[in-house]
Amino acid sequence: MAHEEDIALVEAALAGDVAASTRIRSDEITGWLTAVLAKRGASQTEAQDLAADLIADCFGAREGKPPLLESYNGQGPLRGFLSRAAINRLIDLKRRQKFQGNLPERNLESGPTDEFDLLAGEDDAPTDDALVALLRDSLITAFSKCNPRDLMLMRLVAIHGVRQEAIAAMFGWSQSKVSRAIGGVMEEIREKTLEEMTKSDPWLELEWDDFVSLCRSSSDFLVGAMR
Amino acid sequence: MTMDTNYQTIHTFLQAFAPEIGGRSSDVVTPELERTIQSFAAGELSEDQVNELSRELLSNENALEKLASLLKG
Repeated sequence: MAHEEDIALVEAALAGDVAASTRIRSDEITGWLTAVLAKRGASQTEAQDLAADLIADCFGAREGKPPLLESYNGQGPLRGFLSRAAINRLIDLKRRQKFQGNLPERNLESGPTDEFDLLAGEDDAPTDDALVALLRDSLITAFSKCNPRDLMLMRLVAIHGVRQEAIAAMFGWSQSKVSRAIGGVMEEIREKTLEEMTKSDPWLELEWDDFVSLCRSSSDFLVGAMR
Repeated sequence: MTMDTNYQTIHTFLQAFAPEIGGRSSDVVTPELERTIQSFAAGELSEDQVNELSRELLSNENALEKLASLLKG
């Protein structure tokens, strides 16, 4: 679903419309982004710095990169785009801090699992997006620990629209048993995904709804059709 | 947010960023796999066979679609 009002705002801001860019640069937006980051585990200083940098990069990025707003495709709300980018940068920052803290003890020539490999690049390109990697890796590990039959049943029902009664008939189960299997695997996905995420980035404070919402915005903004 | 909606969101994400988990739509359904799917839909597979087939179906979107069609009649 295209967010026409946000697309119009971004296009006007990029075209130099002062009122539009003032709305995006407003204290209200910067304060909101700061709060988003602080809620996810940033210190107040980190949150303020990241929010201010992000808003600045929306218009004229550093090091010759294009304005961040140019990559807004309108497939989700502008606030979702900004919060996703901000959390991505927070993960990158925290991993750099951890890497720098561990540097004297680490052998940089060690295997691919050392902390250097966890670091994303400086930009927000999908190929080195720290947030996508974190969401994806947590889900892959969680899925590998779930019952494959129940995962498959979940997909038949939620994606392919198969009725639970048809699955019950196939197994000779009651419909409530199908429902429990599906509910159980979804709970298992939630629990194991958050567990994996905490192992990887223990400072990060994400609720399940946040996690799902970040999956959605990652799909919308990194895969969705460009404007 | 319902359970189905959450799963759909995760599924879309995995199809984009981890197709080996989200299910590849480029994989073929061999005649042997099709026969196994038909046996499954008829309730003729053992628990071990079901688990083995489930792993295969999770990575092969075309095969899962085939099973879904059989179950939807």
